[in-house]
Amino acid sequence: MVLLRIINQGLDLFYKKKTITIVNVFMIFLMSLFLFSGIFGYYIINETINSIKDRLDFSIYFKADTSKEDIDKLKNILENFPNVKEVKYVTKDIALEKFKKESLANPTISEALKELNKNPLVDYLIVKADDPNVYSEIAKYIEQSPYRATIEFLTYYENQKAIQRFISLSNYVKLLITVFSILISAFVFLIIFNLTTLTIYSQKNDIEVYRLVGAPNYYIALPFGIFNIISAFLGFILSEACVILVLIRTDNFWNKIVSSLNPNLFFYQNFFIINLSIFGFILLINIISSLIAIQKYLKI
Amino acid sequence: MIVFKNVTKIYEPNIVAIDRASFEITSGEFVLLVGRSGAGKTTILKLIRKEEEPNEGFILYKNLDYKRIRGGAIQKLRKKIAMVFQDFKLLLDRTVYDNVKIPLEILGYSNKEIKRKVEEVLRMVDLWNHAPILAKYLSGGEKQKTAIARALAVSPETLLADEPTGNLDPISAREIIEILKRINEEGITIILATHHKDIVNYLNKRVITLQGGKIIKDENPGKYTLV
Repeated sequence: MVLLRIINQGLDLFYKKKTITIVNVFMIFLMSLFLFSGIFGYYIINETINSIKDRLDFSIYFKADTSKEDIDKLKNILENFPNVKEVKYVTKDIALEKFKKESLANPTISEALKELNKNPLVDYLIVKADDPNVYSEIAKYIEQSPYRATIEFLTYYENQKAIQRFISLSNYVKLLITVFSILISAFVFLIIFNLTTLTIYSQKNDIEVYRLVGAPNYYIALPFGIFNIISAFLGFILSEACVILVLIRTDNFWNKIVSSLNPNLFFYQNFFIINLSIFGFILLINIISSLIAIQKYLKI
Repeated sequence: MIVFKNVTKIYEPNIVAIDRASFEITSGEFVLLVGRSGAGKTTILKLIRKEEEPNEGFILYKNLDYKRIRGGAIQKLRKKIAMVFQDFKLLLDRTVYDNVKIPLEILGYSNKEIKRKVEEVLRMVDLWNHAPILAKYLSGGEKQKTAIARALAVSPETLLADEPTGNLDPISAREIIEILKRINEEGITIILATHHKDIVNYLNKRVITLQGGKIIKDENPGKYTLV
């Protein structure tokens, strides 16, 4: 019975304090939007990084007289490197076929190729890694290994600059996302803290009366918590509606930037985890900041 | 029932509100606390309700030492010791009925019990026909009656009244005093803080006189002299 009345008090606050309710819901709506943007931003950056990563590779060109066994051995070693996604062995015959296909549009090269009696290309390995940092480790390993004598050249040194630039850029982006998340959390915390303080202040008279008639601490404090939870839920639902609307409207836009980008699919595939984590986060920040505001300004 | 023994209350920085006050009030008594503004009347009432802690001395309520009352027990004590104020402390945007039912809701009474109890106390202060009216539309006397009804709703053992007639015209003030007398006749201890000598003379009850935080007189009915 008492719990029901506390919930009613929270609802009363929600209906009676219209201005504060509107501000509260609006701020939580904005915060949820920030958080949704953060998650989608992270997804877009991540997808772009993955797309760039896929394009980055590292090739090892062997001398013409290197045996297939030696190449296979090195391939096995490289496959066991941590974070190596794939090591592809391209024989000189396959390389030639590929080159011919690519040169069909260029009659000069096509003619020149026809006149060749011998395959001028060499066998090579293409290494793809999840983490571009691994390329420098592989290059270092090869330089010190007995296989160095069988290798004509490594593309690492040519790509090194691009790889290093990419690594520092992705680290920078990750740092930005972390800083952005911390800033948003602090922002959310401060806003809810101030709104709770404002609500408490607007209820000063009621609180005094409740205290006077002997209301226990929880009876005075809980309605503010319930008020905040209702506001958080409403603000969250509104932002969710906005996000869905934006996703529907921009459905054909993202894959023009990066072909693998599909925020719509990402959202629906991770619907529960995204919504639960955003709402959970808002609720958690809400509860902590309300508790601090109540402790600080609701001296009972 | 209420015992003050050498109670001293000092507010920051060094304002002595109560200076070594000692008295005893028995159950069912009607006691007047008199003195000028700042004499310490309100501080004594706050100490009785454990809204303030003494710096020295001890307070007992039915042999229960206040120093041992903590947490939820304070709420239980305040249920036994209700209080009304000069400024009524009502929620003006709620009806008379809603104001009176607040303490009953807090204590978890059922809606049926609340209705019965609210009607009973509002009839006691002749305000049942005002039950659906918003408190902001009441006269001063009616507001004070509502505050008294709210205090009585939880069946307190003691009622503390801090200048309850301070904002009222003489007729309304007399009505409030009559209500307090009636309540006292039903066995509830009344401690009334006032500086109106008319009320003191009219009531003809025990008078504790305060001056600068000290009890300078504690007189039985009929012996009150104005300080």
